[in-house]
Amino acid sequence: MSDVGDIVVKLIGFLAEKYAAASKYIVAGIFSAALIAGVLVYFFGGSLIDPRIDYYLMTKMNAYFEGDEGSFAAAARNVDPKIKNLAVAQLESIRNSLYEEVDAVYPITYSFTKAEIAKLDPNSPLTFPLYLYADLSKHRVSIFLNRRNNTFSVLMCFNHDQKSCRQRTSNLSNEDITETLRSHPLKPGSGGIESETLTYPPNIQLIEISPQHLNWDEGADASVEGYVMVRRAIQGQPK
Amino acid sequence: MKASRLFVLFLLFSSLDCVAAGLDGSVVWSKIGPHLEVANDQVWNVKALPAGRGEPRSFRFYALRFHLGYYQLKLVDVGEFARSKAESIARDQNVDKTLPAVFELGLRTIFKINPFSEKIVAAAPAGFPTSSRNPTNLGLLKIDGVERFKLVSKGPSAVFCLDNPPQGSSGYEYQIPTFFRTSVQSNLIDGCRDEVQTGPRILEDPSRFRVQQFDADSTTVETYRRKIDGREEAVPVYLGIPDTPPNYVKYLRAAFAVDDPGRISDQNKERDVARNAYIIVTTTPAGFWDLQDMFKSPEFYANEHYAPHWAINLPGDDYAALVHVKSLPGEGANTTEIGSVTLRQATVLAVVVRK
Repeated sequence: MSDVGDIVVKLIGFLAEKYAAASKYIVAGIFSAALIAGVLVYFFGGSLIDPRIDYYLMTKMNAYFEGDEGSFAAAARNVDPKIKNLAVAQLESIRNSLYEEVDAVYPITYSFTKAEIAKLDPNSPLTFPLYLYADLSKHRVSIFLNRRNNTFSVLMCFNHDQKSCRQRTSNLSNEDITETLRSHPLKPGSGGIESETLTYPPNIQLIEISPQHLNWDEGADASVEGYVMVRRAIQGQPK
Repeated sequence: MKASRLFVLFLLFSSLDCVAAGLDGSVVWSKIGPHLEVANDQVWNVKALPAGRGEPRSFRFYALRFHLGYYQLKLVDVGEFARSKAESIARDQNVDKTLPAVFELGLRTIFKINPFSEKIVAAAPAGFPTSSRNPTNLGLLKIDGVERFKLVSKGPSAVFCLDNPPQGSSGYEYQIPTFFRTSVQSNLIDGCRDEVQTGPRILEDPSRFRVQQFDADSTTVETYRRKIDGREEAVPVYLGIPDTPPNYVKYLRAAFAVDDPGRISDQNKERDVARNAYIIVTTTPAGFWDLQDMFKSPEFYANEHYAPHWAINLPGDDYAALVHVKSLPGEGANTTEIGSVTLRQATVLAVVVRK
Protein backbone atom coordinates (compact mmCIF):
# COMPACT_ATOMS: atom_id res chain seq x y z
CA MET A 1 0.00 0.00 0.00
CA SER A 2 1.31 3.38 -0.81
CA ASP A 3 1.90 6.05 1.71
CA VAL A 4 -1.14 7.92 0.54
CA GLY A 5 -3.33 4.85 0.93
CA ASP A 6 -1.96 4.31 4.32
CA ILE A 7 -2.77 7.84 5.31
CA VAL A 8 -6.39 7.50 4.05
CA VAL A 9 -6.92 4.25 5.93
CA LYS A 10 -5.55 5.83 9.05
CA LEU A 11 -7.77 8.85 8.58
CA ILE A 12 -10.90 6.71 8.18
CA GLY A 13 -9.93 4.70 11.19
CA PHE A 14 -9.38 7.88 13.12
CA LEU A 15 -12.74 9.35 12.06
CA ALA A 16 -14.61 6.10 12.67
CA GLU A 17 -13.25 5.96 16.10
CA LYS A 18 -13.84 9.64 16.82
CA TYR A 19 -17.41 10.01 15.28
CA ALA A 20 -18.89 6.54 15.79
CA ALA A 21 -21.61 7.86 18.09
CA ALA A 22 -22.59 10.69 15.65
CA SER A 23 -22.84 8.39 12.61
CA LYS A 24 -25.03 6.10 14.62
CA TYR A 25 -27.45 8.96 15.20
CA ILE A 26 -27.34 10.00 11.57
CA VAL A 27 -28.17 6.51 10.38
CA ALA A 28 -30.94 6.24 12.99
CA GLY A 29 -32.35 9.62 11.84
CA ILE A 30 -32.37 8.52 8.19
CA PHE A 31 -34.10 5.30 9.12
CA SER A 32 -36.75 7.12 11.22
CA ALA A 33 -37.49 9.58 8.41
CA ALA A 34 -37.94 6.69 5.99
CA LEU A 35 -40.27 4.98 8.47
CA ILE A 36 -42.42 8.12 8.97
CA ALA A 37 -42.61 8.69 5.24
CA GLY A 38 -43.73 5.10 4.76
CA VAL A 39 -46.47 5.48 7.36
CA LEU A 40 -47.70 8.74 5.81
CA VAL A 41 -47.82 7.23 2.35
CA TYR A 42 -49.64 4.22 3.74
CA PHE A 43 -52.36 6.34 5.34
CA PHE A 44 -52.60 9.35 3.01
CA GLY A 45 -51.12 8.11 -0.19
CA GLY A 46 -54.60 7.48 -1.63
CA SER A 47 -55.43 11.16 -1.60
CA LEU A 48 -52.31 11.91 -3.51
CA ILE A 49 -52.52 9.10 -5.97
CA ASP A 50 -56.28 8.62 -6.63
CA PRO A 51 -56.98 12.02 -8.22
CA ARG A 52 -54.13 11.39 -10.54
CA ILE A 53 -55.73 8.11 -11.49
CA ASP A 54 -59.08 9.84 -12.00
CA TYR A 55 -57.45 12.49 -14.05
CA TYR A 56 -55.65 9.87 -16.03
CA LEU A 57 -58.79 7.84 -16.62
CA MET A 58 -60.84 10.91 -17.47
CA THR A 59 -58.27 12.03 -19.98
CA LYS A 60 -58.18 8.60 -21.51
CA MET A 61 -61.98 8.32 -21.68
CA ASN A 62 -62.37 11.75 -23.20
CA ALA A 63 -59.83 10.83 -25.79
CA TYR A 64 -61.74 7.61 -26.40
CA PHE A 65 -65.15 9.28 -26.85
CA GLU A 66 -64.02 12.36 -28.68
CA GLY A 67 -61.22 10.73 -30.58
CA ASP A 68 -61.27 8.03 -33.21
CA GLU A 69 -64.18 6.18 -31.60
CA GLY A 70 -66.78 8.76 -32.81
CA SER A 71 -69.61 6.27 -33.26
CA PHE A 72 -69.30 5.25 -29.66
CA ALA A 73 -69.51 8.93 -28.64
CA ALA A 74 -72.66 9.35 -30.72
CA ALA A 75 -74.20 6.33 -29.01
CA ALA A 76 -73.41 7.93 -25.67
CA ARG A 77 -75.15 11.09 -26.79
CA ASN A 78 -78.22 9.10 -27.82
CA VAL A 79 -78.86 8.02 -24.27
CA ASP A 80 -78.50 11.60 -23.10
CA PRO A 81 -82.25 12.52 -23.06
CA LYS A 82 -83.00 9.59 -20.82
CA ILE A 83 -80.30 10.62 -18.43
CA LYS A 84 -81.56 14.16 -18.63
CA ASN A 85 -85.15 13.13 -17.90
CA LEU A 86 -84.00 11.09 -14.98
CA ALA A 87 -82.03 14.03 -13.66
CA VAL A 88 -85.05 16.35 -14.03
CA ALA A 89 -87.27 13.85 -12.25
CA GLN A 90 -84.80 13.57 -9.43
CA LEU A 91 -84.50 17.35 -9.22
CA GLU A 92 -88.28 17.66 -9.09
CA SER A 93 -88.38 15.10 -6.35
CA ILE A 94 -85.80 17.01 -4.36
CA ARG A 95 -87.67 20.27 -4.93
CA ASN A 96 -90.94 18.70 -3.74
CA SER A 97 -89.23 17.54 -0.63
CA LEU A 98 -88.27 21.20 -0.06
CA TYR A 99 -91.92 22.42 0.08
CA GLU A 100 -91.84 23.55 -3.57
CA GLU A 101 -89.62 26.51 -2.82
CA VAL A 102 -92.17 28.19 -0.59
CA ASP A 103 -90.49 30.78 1.55
CA ALA A 104 -93.52 32.00 3.48
CA VAL A 105 -97.26 31.53 3.81
CA TYR A 106 -99.39 34.33 5.27
CA PRO A 107 -102.78 33.10 6.41
CA ILE A 108 -105.94 35.13 5.75
CA THR A 109 -108.62 34.50 8.35
CA TYR A 110 -110.95 37.43 8.82
CA SER A 111 -114.44 36.86 10.12
CA PHE A 112 -117.15 39.44 10.65
CA THR A 113 -120.81 39.58 11.53
CA LYS A 114 -123.56 41.93 10.56
CA ALA A 115 -123.75 43.15 14.16
CA GLU A 116 -120.02 43.90 14.21
CA ILE A 117 -120.18 45.87 10.97
CA ALA A 118 -123.18 47.81 12.21
CA LYS A 119 -121.05 48.99 15.13
CA LEU A 120 -118.36 50.27 12.78
CA ASP A 121 -118.14 53.98 12.30
CA PRO A 122 -118.21 55.33 8.71
CA ASN A 123 -114.61 56.31 9.44
CA SER A 124 -113.71 52.65 9.99
CA PRO A 125 -114.26 50.99 6.62
CA LEU A 126 -114.48 47.21 6.50
CA THR A 127 -110.97 46.54 5.24
CA PHE A 128 -108.53 43.86 6.29
CA PRO A 129 -104.86 44.67 5.72
CA LEU A 130 -102.15 42.07 5.28
CA TYR A 131 -98.50 43.13 5.24
CA LEU A 132 -96.00 40.64 3.89
CA TYR A 133 -92.37 40.37 2.87
CA ALA A 134 -91.57 39.55 -0.73
CA ASP A 135 -88.51 40.54 -2.71
CA LEU A 136 -90.07 40.80 -6.14
CA SER A 137 -86.75 40.28 -7.89
CA LYS A 138 -86.56 36.82 -6.29
CA HIS A 139 -90.10 35.90 -5.26
CA ARG A 140 -93.44 35.23 -6.83
CA VAL A 141 -96.54 35.96 -4.80
CA SER A 142 -99.89 34.27 -5.24
CA ILE A 143 -103.14 34.47 -3.33
CA PHE A 144 -105.81 31.93 -2.46
CA LEU A 145 -109.05 33.41 -1.15
CA ASN A 146 -112.39 31.88 -0.25
CA ARG A 147 -115.57 33.61 0.88
CA ARG A 148 -117.54 31.81 3.56
CA ASN A 149 -121.26 31.97 4.41
CA ASN A 150 -121.91 35.03 2.28
CA THR A 151 -121.83 35.78 -1.42
CA PHE A 152 -120.10 39.13 -1.04
CA SER A 153 -117.63 40.40 -3.56
CA VAL A 154 -114.09 41.29 -2.57
CA LEU A 155 -112.23 44.47 -3.42
CA MET A 156 -108.50 43.82 -3.31
CA CYS A 157 -106.13 46.79 -3.31
CA PHE A 158 -102.36 46.58 -3.29
CA ASN A 159 -99.76 48.84 -1.71
CA HIS A 160 -102.11 51.76 -1.06
CA ASP A 161 -102.61 52.36 -4.76
CA GLN A 162 -106.18 52.89 -5.86
CA LYS A 163 -105.26 52.05 -9.43
CA SER A 164 -104.29 48.55 -8.31
CA CYS A 165 -107.74 47.72 -6.91
CA ARG A 166 -109.58 44.75 -8.39
CA GLN A 167 -113.11 43.63 -7.70
CA ARG A 168 -113.53 39.86 -7.41
CA THR A 169 -116.89 38.12 -7.34
CA SER A 170 -115.54 34.57 -7.08
CA ASN A 171 -113.03 32.71 -4.97
CA LEU A 172 -109.39 33.00 -5.92
CA SER A 173 -107.14 30.02 -6.40
CA ASN A 174 -103.45 30.59 -6.86
CA GLU A 175 -103.86 33.99 -8.50
CA ASP A 176 -100.42 35.39 -9.23
CA ILE A 177 -100.22 38.98 -7.99
CA THR A 178 -96.49 39.48 -8.47
CA GLU A 179 -96.82 41.82 -11.43
CA THR A 180 -99.51 43.89 -9.71
CA LEU A 181 -97.30 44.34 -6.66
CA ARG A 182 -94.35 45.18 -8.87
CA SER A 183 -96.21 47.84 -10.83
CA HIS A 184 -97.73 49.40 -7.70
CA PRO A 185 -94.93 49.61 -5.13
CA LEU A 186 -95.70 50.73 -1.61
CA LYS A 187 -95.22 54.50 -1.63
CA PRO A 188 -93.75 56.54 1.18
CA GLY A 189 -96.61 58.99 0.96
CA SER A 190 -100.26 59.72 0.80
CA GLY A 191 -102.20 62.11 -1.35
CA GLY A 192 -99.11 62.98 -3.37
CA ILE A 193 -97.09 64.15 -0.38
CA GLU A 194 -94.08 62.04 0.49
CA SER A 195 -92.96 61.86 4.07
CA GLU A 196 -90.20 60.15 6.01
CA THR A 197 -92.77 59.11 8.57
CA LEU A 198 -94.59 57.10 5.91
CA THR A 199 -91.64 55.17 4.54
CA TYR A 200 -91.64 51.38 4.69
CA PRO A 201 -88.70 48.97 4.88
CA PRO A 202 -87.71 47.48 1.52
CA ASN A 203 -89.73 44.59 0.08
CA ILE A 204 -92.79 45.13 2.25
CA GLN A 205 -96.02 44.56 0.38
CA LEU A 206 -99.55 45.41 1.48
CA ILE A 207 -102.74 43.66 0.44
CA GLU A 208 -106.04 45.18 1.58
CA ILE A 209 -109.15 43.04 1.37
CA SER A 210 -112.54 44.76 1.57
CA PRO A 211 -115.73 42.66 1.48
CA GLN A 212 -118.40 44.51 -0.50
CA HIS A 213 -122.04 44.04 -1.51
CA LEU A 214 -122.70 41.80 1.47
CA ASN A 215 -125.66 39.46 1.30
CA TRP A 216 -126.91 38.15 4.63
CA ASP A 217 -129.41 35.63 3.26
CA GLU A 218 -127.31 32.71 4.44
CA GLY A 219 -126.72 33.98 7.97
CA ALA A 220 -125.46 36.86 10.02
CA ASP A 221 -121.81 35.90 10.03
CA ALA A 222 -119.28 35.58 7.27
CA SER A 223 -115.58 35.24 6.76
CA VAL A 224 -112.87 35.47 4.20
CA GLU A 225 -110.21 32.79 4.40
CA GLY A 226 -107.17 31.80 2.45
CA TYR A 227 -103.49 32.51 2.32
CA VAL A 228 -100.81 34.37 0.46
CA MET A 229 -97.89 32.27 -0.67
CA VAL A 230 -94.41 33.68 -1.31
CA ARG A 231 -92.32 31.35 -3.46
CA ARG A 232 -88.85 31.64 -4.80
CA ALA A 233 -89.00 32.49 -8.49
CA ILE A 234 -87.80 29.55 -10.59
CA GLN A 235 -84.92 30.38 -12.85
CA GLY A 236 -86.12 31.03 -16.36
CA GLN A 237 -89.56 32.23 -15.30
CA PRO A 238 -90.31 35.80 -16.23
CA LYS A 239 -89.50 38.17 -13.41
CA MET B 1 -98.75 66.76 -55.64
CA LYS B 2 -98.31 64.38 -52.76
CA ALA B 3 -96.08 66.85 -50.97
CA SER B 4 -98.66 69.61 -51.30
CA ARG B 5 -101.39 67.32 -49.90
CA LEU B 6 -99.18 66.47 -46.98
CA PHE B 7 -98.56 70.15 -46.39
CA VAL B 8 -102.30 70.88 -46.37
CA LEU B 9 -102.84 68.04 -43.91
CA PHE B 10 -100.03 69.37 -41.76
CA LEU B 11 -101.61 72.83 -41.75
CA LEU B 12 -105.00 71.35 -40.90
CA PHE B 13 -103.70 69.35 -37.92
CA SER B 14 -101.56 72.24 -36.77
CA SER B 15 -104.54 74.55 -36.78
CA LEU B 16 -106.66 71.99 -34.90
CA ASP B 17 -103.90 71.64 -32.34
CA CYS B 18 -103.71 75.41 -31.93
CA VAL B 19 -107.44 75.60 -31.34
CA ALA B 20 -107.26 72.80 -28.77
CA ALA B 21 -104.40 74.30 -26.85
CA GLY B 22 -105.19 77.95 -27.41
CA LEU B 23 -103.57 79.97 -30.14
CA ASP B 24 -100.64 80.99 -27.98
CA GLY B 25 -100.56 77.99 -25.66
CA SER B 26 -103.26 79.56 -23.53
CA VAL B 27 -105.76 77.46 -21.67
CA VAL B 28 -109.12 77.30 -23.42
CA TRP B 29 -111.95 78.17 -21.03
CA SER B 30 -115.50 77.27 -22.02
CA LYS B 31 -118.56 78.72 -20.35
CA ILE B 32 -120.90 76.09 -18.86
CA GLY B 33 -123.07 78.37 -16.77
CA PRO B 34 -123.36 81.89 -15.42
CA HIS B 35 -119.91 82.91 -14.10
CA LEU B 36 -118.81 79.30 -14.45
CA GLU B 37 -116.21 78.00 -16.90
CA VAL B 38 -114.31 74.79 -17.50
CA ALA B 39 -111.05 73.92 -19.17
CA ASN B 40 -111.34 70.36 -20.45
CA ASP B 41 -108.37 68.07 -20.97
CA GLN B 42 -105.76 70.76 -21.48
CA VAL B 43 -102.01 70.34 -21.78
CA TRP B 44 -99.65 72.52 -19.79
CA ASN B 45 -96.08 72.76 -21.04
CA VAL B 46 -93.88 73.99 -18.22
CA LYS B 47 -92.25 77.24 -19.27
CA ALA B 48 -89.82 78.08 -16.48
CA LEU B 49 -87.58 75.06 -15.98
CA PRO B 50 -84.24 75.79 -14.32
CA ALA B 51 -81.12 74.44 -16.00
CA GLY B 52 -80.23 70.93 -14.93
CA ARG B 53 -83.79 69.90 -14.18
CA GLY B 54 -83.94 67.46 -17.05
CA GLU B 55 -86.26 67.07 -19.97
CA PRO B 56 -89.10 69.48 -20.81
CA ARG B 57 -92.09 68.83 -18.58
CA SER B 58 -95.80 68.86 -19.28
CA PHE B 59 -99.04 67.51 -17.85
CA ARG B 60 -102.72 67.22 -18.73
CA PHE B 61 -105.43 68.70 -16.56
CA TYR B 62 -109.05 69.72 -16.14
CA ALA B 63 -110.02 72.94 -14.40
CA LEU B 64 -113.09 74.75 -13.16
CA ARG B 65 -113.27 78.55 -12.78
CA PHE B 66 -116.09 80.17 -10.83
CA HIS B 67 -116.93 83.65 -9.57
CA LEU B 68 -117.01 83.77 -5.78
CA GLY B 69 -119.80 86.35 -5.89
CA TYR B 70 -122.10 83.73 -7.38
CA TYR B 71 -120.75 80.52 -5.94
CA GLN B 72 -119.82 79.53 -2.44
CA LEU B 73 -117.26 77.13 -0.97
CA LYS B 74 -118.29 74.60 1.65
CA LEU B 75 -116.59 71.73 3.45
CA VAL B 76 -117.96 68.23 3.98
CA ASP B 77 -116.71 65.96 6.74
CA VAL B 78 -117.28 62.66 4.95
CA GLY B 79 -117.70 60.58 8.13
CA GLU B 80 -120.35 62.95 9.44
CA PHE B 81 -121.99 63.05 6.01
CA ALA B 82 -122.27 59.24 6.03
CA ARG B 83 -123.97 59.31 9.41
CA SER B 84 -126.38 62.13 8.67
CA LYS B 85 -127.31 60.95 5.18
CA ALA B 86 -127.18 57.20 5.80
CA GLU B 87 -130.69 56.58 4.57
CA SER B 88 -130.24 58.43 1.28
CA ILE B 89 -126.85 56.83 0.66
CA ALA B 90 -128.14 53.33 1.44
CA ARG B 91 -131.09 53.81 -0.90
CA ASP B 92 -128.89 55.14 -3.66
CA GLN B 93 -126.32 52.36 -3.30
CA ASN B 94 -128.81 49.62 -2.53
CA VAL B 95 -127.09 48.63 0.71
CA ASP B 96 -128.14 48.25 4.31
CA LYS B 97 -128.48 51.68 5.94
CA THR B 98 -127.26 50.28 9.27
CA LEU B 99 -123.86 49.48 7.77
CA PRO B 100 -122.23 52.84 7.01
CA ALA B 101 -118.79 51.18 7.08
CA VAL B 102 -119.55 49.64 3.67
CA PHE B 103 -120.86 52.82 2.02
CA GLU B 104 -119.08 54.15 -1.02
CA LEU B 105 -118.07 57.64 0.09
CA GLY B 106 -116.27 59.22 -2.83
CA LEU B 107 -116.88 62.50 -4.58
CA ARG B 108 -119.63 60.95 -6.71
CA THR B 109 -121.70 60.13 -3.62
CA ILE B 110 -121.20 63.59 -2.10
CA PHE B 111 -122.20 65.22 -5.37
CA LYS B 112 -125.19 62.95 -5.87
CA ILE B 113 -126.60 63.06 -2.36
CA ASN B 114 -125.70 66.76 -1.84
CA PRO B 115 -125.81 67.48 1.89
CA PHE B 116 -126.61 71.15 1.29
CA SER B 117 -129.82 73.00 0.55
CA GLU B 118 -128.15 74.90 -2.30
CA LYS B 119 -127.46 73.30 -5.68
CA ILE B 120 -124.07 71.65 -5.73
CA VAL B 121 -121.88 72.57 -8.69
CA ALA B 122 -118.61 70.78 -7.98
CA ALA B 123 -116.86 68.56 -5.46
CA ALA B 124 -113.10 68.07 -4.98
CA PRO B 125 -110.84 66.61 -2.29
CA ALA B 126 -110.00 69.04 0.52
CA GLY B 127 -108.22 67.34 3.41
CA PHE B 128 -105.61 64.60 3.44
CA PRO B 129 -106.81 61.29 4.88
CA THR B 130 -104.81 59.97 7.82
CA SER B 131 -104.62 56.56 6.08
CA SER B 132 -106.80 54.30 4.00
CA ARG B 133 -107.63 52.35 7.17
CA ASN B 134 -108.45 55.57 8.98
CA PRO B 135 -109.84 57.95 6.37
CA THR B 136 -110.31 60.85 8.74
CA ASN B 137 -108.86 64.28 8.13
CA LEU B 138 -105.13 64.54 8.75
CA GLY B 139 -105.03 67.77 10.72
CA LEU B 140 -107.44 70.56 11.40
CA LEU B 141 -110.99 70.45 10.12
CA LYS B 142 -113.49 73.02 11.30
CA ILE B 143 -116.99 73.37 9.89
CA ASP B 144 -119.43 76.08 11.01
CA GLY B 145 -117.12 76.88 13.90
CA VAL B 146 -117.12 73.29 15.19
CA GLU B 147 -113.71 71.66 15.31
CA ARG B 148 -114.04 68.11 13.92
CA PHE B 149 -110.33 67.25 13.90
CA LYS B 150 -107.46 68.92 15.66
CA LEU B 151 -104.53 70.77 14.13
CA VAL B 152 -101.47 68.61 13.52
CA SER B 153 -98.48 70.92 13.89
CA LYS B 154 -96.25 68.66 11.77
CA GLY B 155 -99.02 67.96 9.27
CA PRO B 156 -99.74 69.83 6.03
CA SER B 157 -98.18 73.28 6.03
CA ALA B 158 -101.26 75.45 5.59
CA VAL B 159 -104.77 75.89 6.86
CA PHE B 160 -107.16 76.77 4.06
CA CYS B 161 -109.82 79.14 5.40
CA LEU B 162 -112.91 79.46 3.22
CA ASP B 163 -113.82 82.96 4.35
CA ASN B 164 -111.61 85.47 6.10
CA PRO B 165 -112.92 89.01 5.69
CA PRO B 166 -110.75 91.85 6.99
CA GLN B 167 -110.81 92.06 10.75
CA GLY B 168 -113.69 94.12 12.06
CA SER B 169 -115.50 94.08 8.72
CA SER B 170 -118.67 92.29 7.84
CA GLY B 171 -121.42 92.37 5.28
CA TYR B 172 -119.45 91.05 2.37
CA GLU B 173 -121.65 89.45 -0.30
CA TYR B 174 -118.96 86.95 -1.09
CA GLN B 175 -116.36 84.77 0.56
CA ILE B 176 -112.75 85.87 0.87
CA PRO B 177 -110.79 82.66 1.05
CA THR B 178 -107.21 82.63 2.29
CA PHE B 179 -104.77 80.35 4.02
CA PHE B 180 -102.68 80.53 7.17
CA ARG B 181 -99.38 78.97 7.99
CA THR B 182 -99.88 75.94 10.20
CA SER B 183 -96.92 76.64 12.45
CA VAL B 184 -97.23 80.31 13.29
CA GLN B 185 -100.75 81.65 12.99
CA SER B 186 -102.83 80.07 15.70
CA ASN B 187 -104.73 83.29 16.45
CA LEU B 188 -105.89 83.61 12.85
CA ILE B 189 -106.67 79.91 12.62
CA ASP B 190 -108.83 80.17 15.72
CA GLY B 191 -110.83 82.99 14.16
CA CYS B 192 -111.91 81.15 11.00
CA ARG B 193 -115.20 79.23 11.05
CA ASP B 194 -114.63 76.91 8.07
CA GLU B 195 -111.14 75.63 7.46
CA VAL B 196 -109.13 72.56 6.60
CA GLN B 197 -105.43 71.76 6.92
CA THR B 198 -103.82 71.12 3.56
CA GLY B 199 -100.85 72.18 1.45
CA PRO B 200 -98.18 72.88 0.47
CA ARG B 201 -98.64 76.53 -0.47
CA ILE B 202 -97.98 76.99 -4.19
CA LEU B 203 -98.36 80.76 -4.48
CA GLU B 204 -98.31 82.75 -1.26
CA ASP B 205 -101.19 85.08 -0.48
CA PRO B 206 -99.78 88.57 -1.08
CA SER B 207 -102.77 90.59 0.05
CA ARG B 208 -101.73 90.73 3.66
CA PHE B 209 -98.27 89.31 3.66
CA ARG B 210 -97.50 90.92 7.03
CA VAL B 211 -100.50 89.12 8.44
CA GLN B 212 -99.38 85.95 6.70
CA GLN B 213 -96.06 86.41 8.48
CA PHE B 214 -93.76 85.57 5.66
CA ASP B 215 -90.82 87.71 4.81
CA ALA B 216 -91.47 89.21 1.40
CA ASP B 217 -87.76 89.86 0.97
CA SER B 218 -86.77 86.21 1.33
CA THR B 219 -89.64 84.90 -0.75
CA THR B 220 -89.06 84.82 -4.50
CA VAL B 221 -91.21 87.49 -6.09
CA GLU B 222 -92.00 87.73 -9.76
CA THR B 223 -93.82 90.50 -11.53
CA TYR B 224 -96.94 89.66 -13.46
CA ARG B 225 -98.23 92.17 -16.01
CA ARG B 226 -101.91 92.52 -16.61
CA LYS B 227 -104.08 95.20 -18.19
CA ILE B 228 -106.85 97.14 -16.48
CA ASP B 229 -108.78 99.49 -18.74
CA GLY B 230 -105.94 99.41 -21.25
CA ARG B 231 -103.32 100.33 -18.66
CA GLU B 232 -100.59 97.87 -17.85
CA GLU B 233 -100.25 97.09 -14.19
CA ALA B 234 -97.53 95.16 -12.37
CA VAL B 235 -98.75 92.61 -9.88
CA PRO B 236 -96.30 90.87 -7.53
CA VAL B 237 -96.51 87.08 -7.41
CA TYR B 238 -94.98 85.41 -4.35
CA LEU B 239 -93.72 81.95 -5.19
CA GLY B 240 -94.24 79.25 -2.58
CA ILE B 241 -92.41 76.41 -4.29
CA PRO B 242 -88.61 76.61 -4.25
CA ASP B 243 -86.38 74.96 -6.84
CA THR B 244 -85.60 71.79 -4.86
CA PRO B 245 -85.76 68.14 -6.00
CA PRO B 246 -88.88 67.13 -3.99
CA ASN B 247 -90.87 69.80 -5.82
CA TYR B 248 -90.26 68.00 -9.10
CA VAL B 249 -91.61 64.67 -7.86
CA LYS B 250 -94.59 63.80 -10.03
CA TYR B 251 -97.99 62.66 -8.81
CA LEU B 252 -101.51 63.25 -9.98
CA ARG B 253 -102.36 66.59 -8.40
CA ALA B 254 -105.33 68.66 -7.34
CA ALA B 255 -105.10 72.32 -6.39
CA PHE B 256 -107.18 75.33 -5.48
CA ALA B 257 -106.36 78.89 -6.53
CA VAL B 258 -107.78 82.35 -6.34
CA ASP B 259 -107.03 85.12 -8.81
CA ASP B 260 -107.00 88.89 -8.72
CA PRO B 261 -109.57 89.71 -11.40
CA GLY B 262 -109.12 93.46 -11.27
CA ARG B 263 -112.79 94.08 -10.54
CA ILE B 264 -112.90 97.53 -9.07
CA SER B 265 -115.93 99.14 -7.55
CA ASP B 266 -116.75 101.76 -4.96
CA GLN B 267 -118.88 99.16 -3.29
CA ASN B 268 -116.23 96.61 -2.48
CA LYS B 269 -118.61 94.43 -0.51
CA GLU B 270 -120.85 93.72 -3.49
CA ARG B 271 -120.77 90.28 -5.03
CA ASP B 272 -119.62 91.47 -8.44
CA VAL B 273 -116.17 92.50 -7.20
CA ALA B 274 -115.41 89.06 -5.79
CA ARG B 275 -112.45 87.08 -7.02
CA ASN B 276 -112.52 84.00 -9.25
CA ALA B 277 -111.65 80.67 -7.73
CA TYR B 278 -110.13 77.69 -9.54
CA ILE B 279 -110.07 73.97 -8.90
CA ILE B 280 -107.70 72.00 -11.07
CA VAL B 281 -107.07 68.26 -11.29
CA THR B 282 -104.29 66.75 -13.34
CA THR B 283 -104.81 63.53 -15.25
CA THR B 284 -101.10 62.95 -15.76
CA PRO B 285 -98.50 63.28 -13.01
CA ALA B 286 -97.08 66.71 -12.24
CA GLY B 287 -94.76 68.24 -9.67
CA PHE B 288 -95.45 71.20 -7.39
CA TRP B 289 -93.03 73.19 -9.52
CA ASP B 290 -95.15 72.48 -12.58
CA LEU B 291 -98.33 73.67 -10.86
CA GLN B 292 -96.62 76.85 -9.73
CA ASP B 293 -95.41 77.43 -13.27
CA MET B 294 -99.00 77.24 -14.46
CA PHE B 295 -100.58 79.39 -11.75
CA LYS B 296 -98.10 82.23 -12.29
CA SER B 297 -98.52 82.29 -16.08
CA PRO B 298 -100.85 84.57 -18.09
CA GLU B 299 -101.61 81.64 -20.42
CA PHE B 300 -103.41 79.85 -17.61
CA TYR B 301 -105.80 82.73 -16.88
CA ALA B 302 -106.19 83.56 -20.59
CA ASN B 303 -107.70 86.93 -19.69
CA GLU B 304 -105.70 90.13 -19.70
CA HIS B 305 -107.50 91.44 -16.59
CA TYR B 306 -106.83 88.42 -14.41
CA ALA B 307 -103.67 88.04 -12.37
CA PRO B 308 -102.49 85.29 -10.01
CA HIS B 309 -103.26 85.78 -6.34
CA TRP B 310 -102.58 82.60 -4.39
CA ALA B 311 -102.75 78.85 -4.85
CA ILE B 312 -102.61 75.83 -2.63
CA ASN B 313 -102.20 72.08 -3.17
CA LEU B 314 -105.05 69.70 -2.32
CA PRO B 315 -104.86 65.90 -1.82
CA GLY B 316 -103.54 64.29 -4.99
CA ASP B 317 -102.33 60.91 -6.22
CA ASP B 318 -105.29 58.52 -5.89
CA TYR B 319 -107.38 61.26 -4.31
CA ALA B 320 -106.97 63.72 -7.20
CA ALA B 321 -110.49 63.89 -8.57
CA LEU B 322 -113.24 66.31 -9.50
CA VAL B 323 -116.96 66.09 -10.14
CA HIS B 324 -118.76 69.08 -11.63
CA VAL B 325 -121.93 69.92 -13.49
CA LYS B 326 -121.72 69.74 -17.26
CA SER B 327 -123.93 72.76 -17.63
CA LEU B 328 -125.94 75.07 -15.44
CA PRO B 329 -128.89 74.94 -15.27
CA GLY B 330 -129.01 71.33 -16.36
CA GLU B 331 -130.96 68.22 -15.58
CA GLY B 332 -130.48 64.45 -15.92
CA ALA B 333 -127.07 62.95 -16.40
CA ASN B 334 -125.38 66.25 -15.99
CA THR B 335 -122.03 65.57 -14.40
CA THR B 336 -118.44 65.40 -15.51
CA GLU B 337 -116.24 63.08 -13.47
CA ILE B 338 -112.45 63.17 -13.46
CA GLY B 339 -110.21 60.81 -11.50
CA SER B 340 -111.18 58.28 -8.82
CA VAL B 341 -114.59 59.65 -7.91
CA THR B 342 -115.56 56.55 -5.93
CA LEU B 343 -112.52 56.57 -3.64
CA ARG B 344 -113.35 57.34 -0.05
CA GLN B 345 -112.29 60.93 0.77
CA ALA B 346 -111.65 62.40 4.20
CA THR B 347 -112.96 65.90 3.57
CA VAL B 348 -114.55 67.33 0.48
CA LEU B 349 -114.53 70.87 -0.87
CA ALA B 350 -117.93 71.57 -2.37
CA VAL B 351 -118.92 74.46 -4.60
CA VAL B 352 -122.59 75.44 -4.34
CA VAL B 353 -124.67 78.14 -5.96
CA ARG B 354 -124.68 81.23 -3.77
CA LYS B 355 -128.14 82.36 -2.80
